[in-house]
Amino acid sequence: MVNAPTEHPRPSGADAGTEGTRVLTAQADMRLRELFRLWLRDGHVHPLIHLVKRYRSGDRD
Amino acid sequence: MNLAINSDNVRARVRDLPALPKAVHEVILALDDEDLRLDALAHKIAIDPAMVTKILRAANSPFYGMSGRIGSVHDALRLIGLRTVSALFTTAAVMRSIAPPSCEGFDFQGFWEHSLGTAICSQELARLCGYPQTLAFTAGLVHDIGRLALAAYYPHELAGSIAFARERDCPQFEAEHSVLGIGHCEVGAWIAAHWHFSDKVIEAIRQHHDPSEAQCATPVALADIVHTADGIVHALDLVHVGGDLVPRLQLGAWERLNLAPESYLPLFERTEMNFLGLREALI
Repeated sequence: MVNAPTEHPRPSGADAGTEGTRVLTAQADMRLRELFRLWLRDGHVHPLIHLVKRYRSGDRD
Repeated sequence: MNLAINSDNVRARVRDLPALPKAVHEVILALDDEDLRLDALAHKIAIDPAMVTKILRAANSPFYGMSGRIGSVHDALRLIGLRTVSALFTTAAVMRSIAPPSCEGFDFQGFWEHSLGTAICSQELARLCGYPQTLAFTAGLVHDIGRLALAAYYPHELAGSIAFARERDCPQFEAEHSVLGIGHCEVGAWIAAHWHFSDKVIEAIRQHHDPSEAQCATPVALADIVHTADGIVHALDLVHVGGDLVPRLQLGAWERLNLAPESYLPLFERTEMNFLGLREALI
C-alpha cells in the first residue's frame, strides 16, 4: 500500500494535488512507472496531477 | 424529490434525434482509404459551406502561421493535413447535432471544450500505442454526448444530479445513477448507435468510466484510451471549470496502454497545443 490522500482530487486546487506531490516527492527514488501502478492500484489519481504539475513547471526530466 | 428518468423515454428521445450528415461518415471512412486523394476529400467537405468556413478559419488561425493566405479546402488539407481537417469536420458536425440546452450548472461551451480536448488526447494516446487514430479522435469527441442529451431533454433532472454531485463531492456519473437512475454513458452509447458509429466507438462511450468491462480482441481497448484521455484532460484543467474533479483512473487501462514514462510529458504538451489551436477555430 502506498500512502496517498483519498479525497477526490481537483485539477487546479491546492489541496489534493499539493498533498499528492508531497507524498510522491518523498518517494522519489521509486520508478515513476511503478509508482503510477501502485497508486492506481490503490485507487488514486494523484500521480496524474503530479505529472501535470511537473509539466506546468517546465520540469521535463 | 424524485428525479428518476425512465430509460424507455430516453430511448424514444434518442430515436427522434436527427441523423448525422452522411458526409461525416464518408469523411471518417475516407481516412481509412489508403488511395484517398486530397481532391476527393476536399470535394466531400466543400458540400457544406458552414464546414468550409470553419476549416478555413482554422487553417488561417495564428496556430498555423498562414494568416489570411489559405483560401480553399484543398489548400487547407495540404497545410493542416487530412487527419486534422477530418477532425474539424467531424467536430463541427457533431456540435450542430444538439442545440445548446438551458440546464442549471451545465456549461455548453465547457462541454465541447472538454470533448475536443479528450478527442485530441485520445488521438495522441492512440498514436503512442499503435491504435487507429481517427477512431480514437471520434470516440473521444462523443464520449460524453449522453450528458449533452440529458441536459437538453431532461434539464431539470440533470440540474438536480449536478447539484447532488456538488453537495456530495462525488463524480458526475455516480450522481447521475443515484439521482436519475441512468447515466450519460448508456445514453451516449444509444446516441452513437443511432448515429451509426462503429461498435468500438459505441462500446468506448458506454465503458469510458469503467473500461475493465470493455470487450476487446486487441491488447488495448478504445475504452482504455478514452478513459485515460478523459482523466488527463481533467488533470490538465484545459477547460477551467470550477469544482471540476479528476475522475479515478483504472490501473488496468493505464497498464494496457503501456506508455513509456518519457512519453508522459510530451503527451500533455501535444494535447494542450493541438487543443488550443483547434479550439480557436471551432468553439
